[in-house]
Parts: sequence; C-alpha cells; structure tokens
Amino acid sequence: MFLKSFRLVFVLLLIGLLSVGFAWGEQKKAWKIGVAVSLTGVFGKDGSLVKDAYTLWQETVNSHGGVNGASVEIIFYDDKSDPATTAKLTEQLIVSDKVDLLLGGFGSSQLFAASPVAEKYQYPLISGGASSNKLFDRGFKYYFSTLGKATEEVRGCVDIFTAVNPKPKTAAIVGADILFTSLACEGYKKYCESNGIEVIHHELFPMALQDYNSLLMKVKNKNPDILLVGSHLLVAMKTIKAMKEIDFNPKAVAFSYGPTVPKFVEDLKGDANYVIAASEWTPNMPYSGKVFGKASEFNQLYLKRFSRSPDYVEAAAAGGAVAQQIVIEELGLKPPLNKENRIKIMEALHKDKFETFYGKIEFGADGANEAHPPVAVQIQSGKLENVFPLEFAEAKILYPFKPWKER
Amino acid sequence: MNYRTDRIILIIFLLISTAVAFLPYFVQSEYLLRLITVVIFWIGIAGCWNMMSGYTGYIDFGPVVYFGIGSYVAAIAMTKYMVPFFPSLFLSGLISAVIAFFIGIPTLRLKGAYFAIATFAFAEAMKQISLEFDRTFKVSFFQGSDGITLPISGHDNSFFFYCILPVTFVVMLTHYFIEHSKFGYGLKAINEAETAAEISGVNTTANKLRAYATSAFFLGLYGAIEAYWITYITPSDVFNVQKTVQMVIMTLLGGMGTFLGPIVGATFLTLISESLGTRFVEYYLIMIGGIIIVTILILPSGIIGTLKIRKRLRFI
Repeated sequence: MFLKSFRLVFVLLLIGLLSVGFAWGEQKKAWKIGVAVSLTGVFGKDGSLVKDAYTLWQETVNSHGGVNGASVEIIFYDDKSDPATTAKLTEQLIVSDKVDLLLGGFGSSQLFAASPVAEKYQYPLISGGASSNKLFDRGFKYYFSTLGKATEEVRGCVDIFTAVNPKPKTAAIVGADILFTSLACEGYKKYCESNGIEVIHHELFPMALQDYNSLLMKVKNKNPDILLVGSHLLVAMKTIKAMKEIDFNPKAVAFSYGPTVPKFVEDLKGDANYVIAASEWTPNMPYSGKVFGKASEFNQLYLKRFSRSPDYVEAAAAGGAVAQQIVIEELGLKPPLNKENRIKIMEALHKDKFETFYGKIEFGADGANEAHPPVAVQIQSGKLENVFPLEFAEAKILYPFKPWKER
Repeated sequence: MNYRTDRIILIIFLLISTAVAFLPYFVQSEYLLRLITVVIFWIGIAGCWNMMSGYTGYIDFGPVVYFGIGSYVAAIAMTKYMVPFFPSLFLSGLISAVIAFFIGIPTLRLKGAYFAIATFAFAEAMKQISLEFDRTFKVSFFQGSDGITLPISGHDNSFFFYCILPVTFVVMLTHYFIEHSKFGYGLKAINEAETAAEISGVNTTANKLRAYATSAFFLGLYGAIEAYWITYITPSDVFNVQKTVQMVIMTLLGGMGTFLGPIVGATFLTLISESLGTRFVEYYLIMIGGIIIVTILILPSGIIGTLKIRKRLRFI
C-alpha cells in the first residue's frame, strides 16, 4: 500500500517536473531582438533616448502577452558612437547572439556601417534615428527608416514663415559639420529659395566648436531676419546660450534637432521660449494604432515610465518597432526566425502601410518613410506647441522673437 | 643569451603568424573572424604609433591624420577615378607617406610638447580641410560632411582578414628590423639623448623622418582597408582623435618601444572591451578605465615594458 502511494507520488512529481520543464522551455522561446546603439561618445545622449523607446516598447508588448505569444527580449550593445564598432556589434548580434531581428540605433554614420551587415545577412533593419539622404541611395532592400529624409525634415521650419506677417526676407544658416546637420542646412537653403527668402550667410562649423559667440557675432553683424540652425541637442543649447550672451535677436530661430528633447527646456528654462524646431511627431498629433493606442497615450506611458515626454526620435524608433511587430503578427511568425521568414518580413515592410501612434508609416522602394509630413513646433511658456502644419497646429506661432533684454 | 632569445621570439612570432593565416579555414563564425581581424587591425595600428613614438620618444598626437588620408585617397580613387581596390590601397599608403615626409621636415625639428601639439593640429587641420575644401573651391572632391559612399565590396570578412594580416605582419617585422639595425639604434639613441646621438654622428632628422613616413605609409593602408570595409567615410569618423587615443593607450598598456607591446596592448584592450562591453553595457567603460589605471600603476612601463626591465631582456 505504502509502495503504491509512493509510486503515485513519484509519478505525479515526475509529471509535475516535466510540465514545469516544458513550460520553462516554452517560456524560453522569446523574440531576441538586437540593437547596436551609441550609449557613450558624441551620440551617447541621443542613443540613450532610442534605448528608452525600445525598452518601453518591449515592456508594453510583454505586459500584453508578447508578440504572437512569445515575449520580447532586447540585447543592447554600445557602439561608442564609432561606426566600425557598430558594424562589428551588428555582426555579433546576428552571428554570435543569433538574434531573430534587429532594430536600428542612432546616427547616420552608425546606420551607414550597420546596414551593409544587415543587408549581407538579410536582416530587416528599421531605424528611427537616422535620416541622411545618402542612406537611401544604395539600393538596399533591408534598410528602412521611419523618419523622412534629412533635407525634408526641416521643411516645416521654413514653410511656417509663409504664415507670419511680416514675412522674413533674409535668413542666416549655420550648422554643425556632420552629415545630418549639414543636410538639414541644405534643406533649409532649398526651402528658403522656394519660399523667396534670401540666404545671406551660410556656414558650417565643427561639432566640437566651443566658442559660439564669435560665430554668431559674425551672423549678428549681417542682421538676418531669421536664423536657421542645423543642430543636435548640444549645438542647439550652446547656440541659445551664445545668442543671449551677445544679445542677438533675429525675428525667429529654428533648429533641426535638439529643442524637442526635454532636457533643452529643463536646462534653458525661459530662454528656450520662442524657439522653433523641426519635428516629425508631437503627442497631440491625431495618430493612433496598435500597441500604444493614440499618440497622447504613448506620451502618458512615457511620462509614467521615464517621468518625461518622448522626443520625436524616440517616437520614430518605437514606431519602427511597432511596424515590424505588426508584420510579424500578420505573418503569424514565431521565434526562432529563419532566413525565409526575414525575407517575408522585408517584403511585407515594403508592401504594407501601417497606422501607428507615430502616424502613417509607408516605406518606399528605397526604405524611406514616404507618408510622414514634416512638423514644426515652438516652445511657448516652456511647452512644446505644434505650430505647423497649420491643420494640426495647436497654437499660433509667436513671431517675432521677443528680444532677450525684454524677457 | 639575448640574441638566442631574440631568435626564439622571432621564430615563435613567425609560427604564430603562419598559424593565424590559416584561421579563416577553421573559424566558422563570421563574427569571430571579424573580432580576430579587428584585433590584428589594432595590433598594426598601435604598432605604427610605436614605430615612431615608441622608439624615438616623440609623442605623436596626430597619427590618425594618415589613417584619414588613406581612407580618403582610397575612397576618391575608387569612386571618382574607378581605380580598383588594390591599386587604390597602394596609392593610399604612398600618398600618406609622401605627405608625412613633407610634414615631417618642419614638425620633426620640434621637440616634446611642441611636436605633440603640431601633430595634433595637423590632424585637426586635415579634418577641416576635408570638410571645407569643396565648399570653398566649389568642387566635388572630399564631399565635406556628406561623406563618401564606397562601392559595396560584397566580400566576406576573410577578404578583409587577408588584407589586414599581411600589413600587420610587415609592421611587426619592421619592428624586428628596428630592434636589430643601425637605423633602430639611431631611433633609440634619439630617445635616450638626441643631442648626444647627433654629436655621435647619427643623422637624427633623417632617422625620425624615415620612421615617421614608414608609420604613415602603413596607417594609410589601414585607413584604406577600413574605408572599403565600412563602405562609408566622413571627416569626423576617419580623422577622429579617439583613434589616436586608442592607439596610444594600447601601446602604453603593452609597453612603448617594445616589439610585443603593441601586440599585447591591442589584444588585451580589444578583447577586454569586447568581453565587458557585451556583458556590462552600462558600466563597462568605467571598468575598462579602472583596469587601465590599475595596470599602469602596477606595471608603469606597460605589460611587456615592465617585464623587459625586470627580466633585463634586450628584445621583446
């Protein structure tokens, strides 16, 4: 009798252990997604934002049962803002870590280095942090970007001046001499010409420039109506500080990137007011879709998780992750993925149109997002207000810029 | 005893190099092969710096300029003049060496911090020239901050392995030559007491110039290979001062003016950043910084340098 009971207990225990084992085995089949992103170096700050966006996407997806029942696990590696390291890490993620899919990091040079590796191994690579035009000229099939091309991103920052009175007649364009910002300057020039604004000063300066006062003093002496800056966050902050120091008061100042990052307003406080910035997304845009719901709900999730609002690059990065997720769900794929699966994902990314919290995503044959209108925002009373396109504007542009001495 | 040790070390080096040459036939993982290639790449780059600064004591803060020149020569030759890769590669080394020769004539007359500042300034100036040249002269040559996209090679990592390995092999053999030639003694004499060397009949300027141009030749080759491998270059990337810092730290860690120093320093630093960087993404740089500080405190002349002094070895 005792022996029988013992056998029963033993069998039950064995079944229990096996089922736990199976369950554990099932659980282990998570989606492995690899990201080589700059967490240190010149783009360390911007790359960290991209990391936050993917982290939030991962947590949100996992809290809703994962993608097709499998949870998401992201492997982040730091490329130290060095393109050669980005290429090496991308290969490591594919070959050594055997990730199912990739997501892009930050910076055009970095994506230039990562994309040939992704192309070689036939891994779709969607980035939300690089928009240099040349990235799309190489005939790659596996590279995608949720951002528009760099020269187009700043269109809103110039087109907005068609809606002000009196319309500015002259502009000065300055920018850091790296790929994204110099392309932004090209975009400024192109749209100034098409809007009849004369460019009276055009200068690119080293990214590591310390003395912004001398640079801007030259510009001040030419007395342009507006100042257009090709910038990253630090460039934008240094420009504002220098403008205040030398009391440079053009009628408007616009930046290609920087002011939409919350740190800009946090650090500059009242000095950040009146600043215009290019954007591709703001939380008040009337967009909605799977995973995050509305744009405003994505903003709320961000506030809850990171105690700050997201920047448009973060939204673009998360938007790319969502687009890839939608394709996986539609194709009914489960990890681990093979080469054929990834080819199908690439084809679907080219073919499908995606409605997301980030707006419409429609990848062209070159991988650029063709469905995204450029947005211009202005900081008004410490808040980012959407001022262009006019149909989505939540506030009227404050123009002209209030002189520093009157603030 | 010392000469026997020299020969043994050389034979071991030749045997290891031969064995390494067959690695692509055994290493199945493309990633592992890339990692090995990156280690060999940095051994060579650190070796180039050691060749000039390690032996003469002239601290060069601008070697990246020749790496960048090599990258641009290859990129322009391949994209603008449709020159195939290997002739472009040779051209990269040659032009880097020629520029180094003419830059070396005035700068190598400077000493100590002045030489360091001059070389650093030259590297930064070249970065600015490549950024501004096209805009200033209304041409399309360096393509400024837009950078140059090189043709996609389509080669796998073993191709780049076999491009880099022979260059590094020759760089290290040059070290052996420096250690065992009158030219090398001249370089060491410059390090010990330049004026005394000059009085003893050593043509110090010519010796420094030879070392400087040779180092630039190899750096140009590395620049060209990396440009072809990464397929895209910008002035900010190829003239990045971080590359100089990395080659200096690798050589200092291994031991300045030693044969094995660049090999040990580059391998140690590359593998340690690889290992820690993938495991401790948030903290690995602090850990690497700590390891470098501790290593230098315990072994002030670098790993091989200290061993050389303690064991009183002439050549390693």
